[in-house]
This record gives sequence, structure tokens and C-alpha cells, in this order.
Amino acid sequence: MALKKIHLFIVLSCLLFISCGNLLVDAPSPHSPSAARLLLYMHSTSSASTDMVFTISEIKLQAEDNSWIKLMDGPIDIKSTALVDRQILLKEAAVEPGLYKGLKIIISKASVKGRDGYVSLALPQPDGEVVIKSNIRLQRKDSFAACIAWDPEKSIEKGFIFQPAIEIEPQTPSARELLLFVSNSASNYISIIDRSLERVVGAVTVGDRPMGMALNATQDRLYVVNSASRNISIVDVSRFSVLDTIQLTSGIEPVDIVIIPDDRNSIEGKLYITNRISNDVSVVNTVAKRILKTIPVGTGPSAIAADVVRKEIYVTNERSNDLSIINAIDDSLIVTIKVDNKPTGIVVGKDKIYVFNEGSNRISVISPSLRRLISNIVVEGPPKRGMQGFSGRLFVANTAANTLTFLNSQEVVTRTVPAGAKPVGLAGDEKRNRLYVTNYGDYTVSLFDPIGEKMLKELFVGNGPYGAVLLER
Amino acid sequence: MKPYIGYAANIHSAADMSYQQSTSTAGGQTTESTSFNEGYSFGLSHELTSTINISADVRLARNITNGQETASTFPMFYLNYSPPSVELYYLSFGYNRNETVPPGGDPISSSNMNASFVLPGDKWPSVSLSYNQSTNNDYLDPHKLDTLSTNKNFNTIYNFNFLETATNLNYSYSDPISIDRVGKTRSEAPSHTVTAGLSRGFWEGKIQTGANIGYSQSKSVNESKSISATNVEGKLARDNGLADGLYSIDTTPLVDSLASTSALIDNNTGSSAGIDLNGLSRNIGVRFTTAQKVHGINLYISTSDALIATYSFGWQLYTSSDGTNWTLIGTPSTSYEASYQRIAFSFSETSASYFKVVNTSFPAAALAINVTEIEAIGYVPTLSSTTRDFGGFNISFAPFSRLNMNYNISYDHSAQDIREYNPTTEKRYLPFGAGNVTSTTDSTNISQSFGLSSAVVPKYLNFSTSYNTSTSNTTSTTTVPSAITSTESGSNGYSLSFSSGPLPTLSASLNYGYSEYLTGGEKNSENSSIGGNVFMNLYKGVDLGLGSSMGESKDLKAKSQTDSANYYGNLNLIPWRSLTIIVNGSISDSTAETAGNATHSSGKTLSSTISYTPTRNLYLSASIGIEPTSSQTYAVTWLPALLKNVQLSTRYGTSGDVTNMGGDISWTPVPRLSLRVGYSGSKTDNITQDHTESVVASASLRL
Repeated sequence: MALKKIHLFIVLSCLLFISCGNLLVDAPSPHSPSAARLLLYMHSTSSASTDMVFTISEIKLQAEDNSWIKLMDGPIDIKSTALVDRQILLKEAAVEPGLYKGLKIIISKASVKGRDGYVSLALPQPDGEVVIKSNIRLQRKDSFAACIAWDPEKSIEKGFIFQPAIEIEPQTPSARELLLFVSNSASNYISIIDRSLERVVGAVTVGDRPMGMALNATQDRLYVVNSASRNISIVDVSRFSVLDTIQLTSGIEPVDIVIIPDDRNSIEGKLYITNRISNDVSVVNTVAKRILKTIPVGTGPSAIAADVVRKEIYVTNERSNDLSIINAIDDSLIVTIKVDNKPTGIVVGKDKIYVFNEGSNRISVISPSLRRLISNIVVEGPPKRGMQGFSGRLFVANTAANTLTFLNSQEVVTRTVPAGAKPVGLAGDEKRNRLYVTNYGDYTVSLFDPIGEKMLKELFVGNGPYGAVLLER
Repeated sequence: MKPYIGYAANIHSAADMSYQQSTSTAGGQTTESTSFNEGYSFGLSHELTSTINISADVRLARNITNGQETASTFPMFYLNYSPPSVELYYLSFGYNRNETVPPGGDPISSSNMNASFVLPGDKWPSVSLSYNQSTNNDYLDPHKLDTLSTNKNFNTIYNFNFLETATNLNYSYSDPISIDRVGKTRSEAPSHTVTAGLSRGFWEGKIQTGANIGYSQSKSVNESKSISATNVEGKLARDNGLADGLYSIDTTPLVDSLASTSALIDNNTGSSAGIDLNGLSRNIGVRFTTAQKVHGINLYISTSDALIATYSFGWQLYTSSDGTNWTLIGTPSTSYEASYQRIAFSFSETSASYFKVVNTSFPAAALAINVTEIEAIGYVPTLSSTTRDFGGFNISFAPFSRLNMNYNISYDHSAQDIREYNPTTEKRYLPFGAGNVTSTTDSTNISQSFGLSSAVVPKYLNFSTSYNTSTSNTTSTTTVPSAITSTESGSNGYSLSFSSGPLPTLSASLNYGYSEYLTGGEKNSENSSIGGNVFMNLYKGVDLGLGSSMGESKDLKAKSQTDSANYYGNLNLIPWRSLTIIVNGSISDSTAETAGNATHSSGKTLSSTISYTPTRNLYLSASIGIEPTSSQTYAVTWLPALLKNVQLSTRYGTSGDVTNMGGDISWTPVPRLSLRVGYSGSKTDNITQDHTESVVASASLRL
């Protein structure tokens, strides 16, 4: 009986597909919904750079039919000193899918700093145009990050002609263990940063408003929850591509996600997703790619964390000021514990759970075995999210105050420093002693030294960077 | 409706396979496990019009774990309606189904249906309504599995500015219901929550204030009559099927029916039911209209014998389904409760329509002992009502950029009561009635904190301090058993820190923290710590961080104390961007003293991590531990230039007598196919040569 229903369903789906067959051709449009996204970055390959400035008036792409398509208009001033150890985003553009075999940069002026100030340089000929070969293949609806690598030290010929030594680095994967993934919540793609290069090396289109992310236990699949399109994108971290999409058939405004690995097959597991408006948590099996169960929790569930050893899930409920604890074996609600005002973040430590309460200046410390509040930590606040690492230290993003608070392993505040605009997501690279903080209020990720407690640099990603996840074995 | 031309349908199909085999040998015993998963999907998503989007797919999954196979099919249908351009509201309907055949079992069908309506709020309140229904049943007749869960949810949020005050109002309602048609249980937990939040700045933003208040009311009805965390034990009365009292003097308790004795269940423990215990073979019992789960019996007596508490009787428990043929259950646990003047019997929960206790011995010297009443005790359907009110206020004052002060107070009060509940009449019994069940819990938490931070001399001296205190009072009252308990607990904490960054290459901080915990107003433990760290950039690419912390922890009730000291250092070397060398070390020392006995312990750690990335296609790392145990782990990840779309990684490590190794290869021969194979293993150099191995393989195909 069940099989008959399935067969009927498949037949109906096929009929629906066939009846819509005449709609399979894209209608050409300059802003076609099938357009790809090209992210054009630029960085300097020289660390001790000659002080040089040039102005870009236009950038064009060469299509397969040798026609030139305008990508962007200037003028944009490029300073060599500003690009030392830094990458900038020149343009994020919607481009028709296809193969683009060249990039033309039109320069309107260039100068180099001498003893007596800036001296103009002759422009490349003809007409200040520099053409670089590229191999940019843009797929329909996908994202592609291309980086212009410029060597200022080799950009002057004959002492007076500006001939920029430029190469295009197309999007290609780096070694998996070097990657940091950032969800750009005001857009529909994730940015991929190579932590050794400290640059964006890739981008992958997911769904609308990507927010929380979780890696599986074998660290080859990244699950990205897309809050506006109500689905989950499964990203192959080795190939920078979307493997599959899980449609969430229930739950309103999914925001955060966590995974409990399957004991018998470490590639798979169960995903838990908080739904902020429908006040529940969806449980999804990664094999079936379906919602198995929906668990009602408190009001306004936002952040979620898992204890893989205890097999428990912890959910902060922003509007009911409490913490729900779920048994990940039978997916039942165990208990609800009152915390402080507007809990928005959570971190599971060793025998402690830290709940960050954005409505107060306190972090609630909960004992998972006693199931109650055991202490409070006061920070300058208001604390929204946090992270524990680097030998038990705590790092707290005070989003509304644009600051980051450092605490030592005794849970005592050591320092609060300015961060970017609305810092929210945190990820730590313990092998390189680096802390990454996404700045939701602008386009950047801040890089901190967690021991020296200071900001080192900012990296440009996409609009509204929210979550940060890194691979580290 | 004419389809909108301009948007393409998206057909997708995929196949995924993954396999894991693990072998573990410990103490000469070997266990193996294998798990194979394969999944296939075919689906379509299509924008029927510019406002209606439909997606449907069917997935087939098969899992074989240790030879046991489970196969499932999962059709899914999802419809989303978004009104044009203005984005006024959204409608969506989702349905998915799962047909599973577990190993050696009967097929099980699960389905999930959801309907949602969302009116997003920008200039007006947002509204969302959702209904979710899940079913789980087999195809047997009668069912062995048949459950239904539903949840209705309504939520509205309104954000607006009023008199320069950012205001947030929210109301939420949810009503989850869970029904087990086989177990005949039902639970429902409707709840309402209202919150309001305000925030406003004054004096050009130098003063920021915020306040919030909330109220929630929730109920939880549990209609199962068996042991559960939320059920309460109580007397099973007429609403639970109690029909009659029974009595007879019968020397053959296994057979024969007993006489109806309504005086045994007339709720009158003051007058005799015409039964005495001054002889043998008193068969005293109860009859229910249908089988009930019972785990206790109370037999009320009246006597003028002052030694009644010292007497012992012999008792046996019997049950029956027809009142004539009885089954001996055994000897129940027995106690005399003087405050109630009753003999209390307790035993494992047993289901039957008839229950009786029969005395096998009696105190011959006792004065007249008359039985007045009998009660059967089970877990009764309950209604738990909880009200909660909570709120808080915070204010921060930054008169100038170098000074910030803040104060925060929050409170949370909740009251819960659990009463016996009649599902048929939906009658909730009043508290404190004879034999009624009541349990109430009232708790209040109040937390306050104050913080101050100041850049006393910018860059050179920053100062911050904080104080926090919290108290919690909880009072619980139960009538079965009768008890009132009250607990009060609290905590106070202080912290102080100084930090300085006089040079770009030098920074330091000093901090102090103290916390104490109280119960019943008395301090029972306290912790204090003092620490400091300094960070120096000695040279380009050479950073050194040093720190120490000392702490004291006292348990005043156990009269024990632990003193600890910890010194740590971190050296970061980045001679060039592609190479990072980190060296971490620490020395710790602690002394624990209890009742004059002191124990001392110390430890050292020293480890180094090296990361080298000569190109973005090659990554090498090494982690070397020197103290407390020697360990090494090496890992390489390589994307060979000659082998396109291949990524290789391998790792090897030793720690003490354990050796770990592993590796994996991932390959994408064509864009739509990705493959991965991985291996990991460990070996212990002990007598039994314990070892584990695991092989993982996966393939994914996309069309």
C-alpha cells in the first residue's frame, strides 16, 4: 500500500515536470535570476612595498566570443602600501554564466613616491589598458572568487612606465585544514578564507540569508542553515561546491545548527536547527535529509550547542529567558533552566555551559550534571556570543558595544578591546594562535591575537558576516 | 493560471553512499562493526509563477549496520507562496513522509506536515502562525505503534519607537499535544508568553537604559497513569474507576469472591467499616471498574491500643481480574504511619481490577483494632500549572569616552502547582482536600551586578571592576507525602583588573577575582584568584606571552581548602608567513588540606606546534608534547598539481604507548562526482596489543 502511494507520487511529480518542460529555457536578462556572482579581490604579493598609487577607471571581462563586458566603473585608487598583507574587495557583480578568458583593467593614472613626493608614471599602452589572461568559469547561480595578485616591485619598466605585474588567481581549493568558512547573512553565499594566506580564496552560493553552520565529524561536509529560504545547504569543503540541499518543511526562521555524529558512521549524524519564530527545534537525519522530529522549546530559540559525549543539545530561548536541554538519543526535552535576560549565545565547556545574556551584562554558568545555574560572570557587555579555547580561556563578543572581552581560564576578565562593527561569530585556530571574529555590521572578519589580546587585521568577506567555522585536525 | 515564463525549473538527482568498518581489539576480545548507507534522490523545484514556488522530491535510503538492514523511502512536497513585490506575507505548506522497514521488523510509516503563515513586520506587528503534525504508526491490526504529535504556534512581534524609546512587544502561544493511541496516554502543554522590552538613550547617548518584563503561563496535562517525571502519586478514587470496597474472612484466599463493603471507601476514616484485625484471614480489598495500575494500599485503622505502632502483622497481596480467582503477588513492604493511623503497603506497580491484602498473622495481645477505610495508591493524571514573571533593568553611563559604568538587575519568579486532574470532566481538584494531590513550588531569583571600566591613562592604564550578587529562594509543598521544604541559596562575586598597553610591542594585565556561595544565608564555600599576564613582541615575528595565576578555594562546611598556583608561557614564532611555531608551557602546583591532612600535587606541561604552508596546496603540521607525557603527531595535506582535484592527507602520532595513524584521499574526477576514502587506526603497546581500525569510504554523484 505504501509502495503504491510512492509510485503514484513519483508519477505525479514526473507529470508536473513534463508539463513544465517548456519552461526549462532561461530567458536572457541583464539581471537574470540564473546569473552567477563574481567576487573580484586584489592583494599585493610584496611585503615591503614601494609606495605606488594607480587609479582604475574601468574593468572589463572578455567572454568566450571575445566580446568585452563591463564589470565595473571607477575611479578606484589602489595604493600599494594599503595592500601589504591585506586583501580588498574590488567588486561583487552579477555576471552571466560562461567562460571568461580575459580581464582588462583600464588605468587612468599612476604615480610612485620619490624623494620629493609622488611622481607620475607613464601609462601602459594602448590607452592605459592592461589585459590579463584568466580562466574564470562561472556556473549558473554560483559564486566565484577571483583574486588579482599585484607585485608592485615589478610594476615599473624602464624607470618611468607603469606596467603592473598582475596575475589572476581563480578560485581553487586550498588544503582543507587551512580553511575558515564565513556565512554572509545579508547575502546568499559563504566566503572561504585560507588562514595561512589570510585571504578569501573562494565563495559558494548557498541559500538566502545563511547564518549558522556546522561541520560533520569527518570535516568534509559543511551544513549551512539558510534562514530566509528555510533550507540547509550541504557544502563539499574540498571542492567548494554544494552537494545537496535539504528543504526544511517545517520551522519558521531557522537560525542556528549543530550536529551530533552517528556513532556507527562518522560521516553522518543528526542535525538540530533552532527556529526562532515557531519556537521549536527541528531534527534532521543527514542520511534521510528529512526532518525526523520537531521539538517545542521556549520562546525565541536562537543559539544551539551540543555535548557529543553527553549526547545533549542546549538551546537558548531569547524571549523566555531560559535554556532548554534536549536528549539527543530520543530527541526529547529533558528540562528547562532559567537563565538571565535575553540569552543569545552558548558555549559548551568542560563540565560547564556558558550562556551569554545580551539583555544583561552577565554570562550564566550552568552545570550540565546538576542542571542548574552555578555562577555568573560580569563583563562590560552586553555579551551576545562567545567561544572557549586556547587552554580554557573565554572570548566574548559584545555585539552592541562593538568590543571583544578576553577572560582567563579562571573566568576573570583580563581586557576588553574594540572590535569591528557588531562582532558576533567567533572561531579559534589554536595551531596558529589566531582568533577570528565576524563583524555583522559591515563586510569584515577581524583577526585577533588571543594571547596578546589585540586585533591584528581585518579581512573583507561579504555583507553581514555572521557565523564562522574552521577545520582543524 | 498561466505559468510565468522567465524562470526555469530545477531538476536535481543525487546518489550518496558511505561505508564504515571498524574493528576493535581490547584484552584479546575483538569486536567488529560495519555500517553502509546509500541514498538516492530525485527532485524538482520550480517557480510556477513569480509568487508560487514548488519543490518536491523523493529519497530512498538503505542502511545496513552489522548485517541488519533498514530501508526507507521519503517523499517530500513543499509549496511556498510569496505575494508579489511588496512581500506582504508568506504562505508555505510542507509535507514529508518516511516509510521504513527496520531489520526483521514490520514497516513503519512516519509523516510530518506543516503549514505556516508569516506576516513580516516592518511598520506593523509581525504575525506568524504555524501548525505542525507528526504521525508514527505501523501497519499492524491492532497497532503496536500509533502516535500523533501536533503543535499549534502563534507569534507576534512589534518593534517601534515611541517617544524616542525603542520598544519591542511580543506575544507567543504554543500548544504541543502528544497522543499515544496504543498506550492510551495523552499529554498537552499549552503556554502563553508576553514580553515587552524598552531601550532608550539619554544625554546624547551617554546614558543608555533598557528594561524588559515578561509573563508566561503554561499548563501541562499528563493523562498517562503510570510512572513518569511529571506524574504525581495519589489515591485512585471514583474518577479513576474505584467501584467498591471488599471484605471477607476467608481461609482460602486464592478462590472465592468477597462481600461488597462500601463503608471501606466512604472517605470516612473515623468510623469502623465493621472489620477488625484481631484474627487471621482478613481479606480486605477494592474493586475497580477497569484494570488500574496500583503501587500502594493504605489501610486506615482505629484503636485505643497505645502499643499499636509496635505490633507486627503478616500480610500477603493478591490481585484478580474477576474477583473470584485470585493470584498471589507476594508479601508487600509494610509500615505503620502513626500520624495517619494507617498501615501503608507498597509494592511494584501492578495492573488489575481487583486488589486485596490478607493478614497471615496478628498480635494476639492487641486491643480491638478496627479497619475504617482502604485506599489504593497509583499515579494519577495531573495538571501542572506554571506561572512565571520575569524582568530586568539595566543602565550604563559613559560621561566621557574613558569611563563607563553599568548596573543591571533581573528577577525571575515562578510558581508551579500540580493537581490531580480528571480528563473526562476536565475537572481540576481543589488543593488540600481530603486525599487530593497537591504539590506546589514557588521560586524567586534575583541577580544584580555593577561594573565600572575606565581608561585611567589611555594606553598606559585601564581599570575595570565588577560586583555581582544573586539570591534564590525556593519553597516546595506536597501533601502526598506531606512535606514543606524551603531552600535559600546565593552567591556574591567581585573582580578587579588592570591592563596596560604602553607600547605596540608590550601589554600586560593584572586581575583579581573572588566569589562566595551561600546556603540558608550562611557562606559554605569561597574562591579567590589573582593573576597577571604580560605580552611582548620581542622582534618581528617573535611574540612572547607570560602569565601566572594563584587561587584559593575553601569549602567551609567540609573544612577543606585548596591552594593552587599556575605559571604559563607562550612563545609564538612566525619567521615568515608560511611558518608558525608555537611553544606552550606551564607549571602548576596545588595543595589540598582537609581536617589537617594536606596533599600536594604538581605538574608541568610543555608542547610545541609547528605549521608550515609552503604553498596553498601543501600543509604540514607537527604537534610535539614533552611534558607531562611524550607525544608527537605529524600531519600532511597535499593537493598534487599533477593530479587535478585530488586531496591527500595523512597523519601519524604517538602518545605514551599509543600510536595513531590515519589518512584519507578525496578525489573529484568529474565535477559531478566526488569520492573519498579514509583510514584511521590506533595501537597500544601493552600485553594484549589492543588496537582499533576504521575504514571509511564515501561517494557522491550529482546530476
